[in-house]
Amino acid sequence: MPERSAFQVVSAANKYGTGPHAQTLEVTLIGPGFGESVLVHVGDGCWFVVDSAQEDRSGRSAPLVYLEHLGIKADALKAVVISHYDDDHIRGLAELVKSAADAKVITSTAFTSSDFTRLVANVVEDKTRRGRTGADEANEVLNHLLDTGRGLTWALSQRSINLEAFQNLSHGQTVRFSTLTPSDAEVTNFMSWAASVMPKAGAARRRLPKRERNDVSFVLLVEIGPVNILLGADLEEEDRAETGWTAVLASRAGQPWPRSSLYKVAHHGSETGHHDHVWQEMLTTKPVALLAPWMNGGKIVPDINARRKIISLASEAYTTTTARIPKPPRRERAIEKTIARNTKTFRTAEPVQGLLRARAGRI
Amino acid sequence: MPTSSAFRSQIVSDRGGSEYVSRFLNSEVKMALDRERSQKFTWAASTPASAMATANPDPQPEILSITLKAPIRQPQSRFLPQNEWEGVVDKIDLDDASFSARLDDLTNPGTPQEYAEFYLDDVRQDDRPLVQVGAVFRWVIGKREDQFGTIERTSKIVFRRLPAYSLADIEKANARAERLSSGIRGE
Repeated sequence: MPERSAFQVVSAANKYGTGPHAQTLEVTLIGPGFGESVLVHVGDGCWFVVDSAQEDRSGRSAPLVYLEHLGIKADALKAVVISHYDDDHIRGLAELVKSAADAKVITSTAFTSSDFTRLVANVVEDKTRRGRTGADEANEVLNHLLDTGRGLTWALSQRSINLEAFQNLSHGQTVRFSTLTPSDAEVTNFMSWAASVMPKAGAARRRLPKRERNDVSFVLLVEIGPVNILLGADLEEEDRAETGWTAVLASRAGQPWPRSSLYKVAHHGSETGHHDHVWQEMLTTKPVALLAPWMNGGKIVPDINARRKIISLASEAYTTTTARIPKPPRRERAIEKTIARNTKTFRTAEPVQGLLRARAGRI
Repeated sequence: MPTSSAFRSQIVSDRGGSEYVSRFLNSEVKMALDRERSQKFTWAASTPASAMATANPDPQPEILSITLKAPIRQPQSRFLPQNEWEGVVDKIDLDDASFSARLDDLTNPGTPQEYAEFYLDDVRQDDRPLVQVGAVFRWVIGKREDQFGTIERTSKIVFRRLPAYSLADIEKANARAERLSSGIRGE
């Protein structure tokens, strides 16, 4: 008989009600919209957040807005995790990091590498740009860290991070917080990419192209007594020993994994984010699976095959929003006809944002 | 002597409704007649409109010569933009001769970002080398109204020729970056 997950999805609506009880675990996933973010209540009003998303209506950091709805102040955040640099994971990040002034900021060494900071500084320096981008968020965070002297905690492959605020909680359970990636090869890949798109004197200005691979996206394993949570970030599988899930699975050197009963499905539930052995070795037989889909133009992740696979592997699988591309806003009919005549496809790029909340009763 | 307006109306009927010629003569012939009073102009302008219509329904060669002698001016038209976007090229599909782009609506700020695929054919020949991932362009949809009041819906994609990165800009950015990467501590 499949092992029952400790988690129950209690809300998928935008009426948030009240915050979790001191001894109740909560995992809230917000996305997609402009970004994806995961909030976790560990106990006694102590939270951590992975990445940021921009709230649709206000443009503010969505996890902060969510906490405000629950009447919780930003100082409840004891750690802010920046899983990787990607436009769809760091919108609103500067507001988040500044508001959670006492939180540990956990990220990979790539975030302050000279290649990445040079790339960000050059993009931000470009006065021909319009609007705010992920580079502006990263730049603001980096400058805040420099100005305040606030240090970073590095996420490394198989690193256990001591978060004092998560110790001696009233539920009496030990909390272990581990980063499972990035591997050295992932960091090197990312820095090579940053160097390859670095502006060069005399070259025509262009906007920073989107990084197709999610290098340095790191996976978190959180063990709270008997309950484990696996947050897959955007890790993808390349079938290479030194990167992706293959590298994670090999990093335990044959030791069994603590099995997680809740899984934030990696990389929006895409085929490339999937590895059979993650489900076989790192998760309980039938975990609760949460995912925020990803949409870009006409492409939707997860596709129907990936959705079926996740449903077959999880006891319950939830998505923050329907896999449907919203229609563009209505315009004058003549304009709509001209758009249709002059484009192959035309869509809204930003999907409707949703929220999933899973809670595990008193542990 | 027929008035210039009678002359014009005759040409319109002779040309089977070719408004371009009629309007062209409307302004140009009158101007030329006033200015030059040449033999040809006098003849053309003094030819009775009714005679031209009955003798030969096709345009008279003399009349064509007037148009050639008259000062050349481009037909007047105006473009009324209705919706404008700034786009950034996201992907190029050479097999399909198309490219996709993210679009920010400049006419209706606050509109969620949009995404479109365009055919490379719709980009001006001069601009095609500029179609690269990350390249910035303006897409304008509007009405073109010619001098006769004819309205046509049009779409224009114009790639921006942004200034190149200067060494000074890059050095300034790199100096800032160096302060960040060396000044932020990590453990």
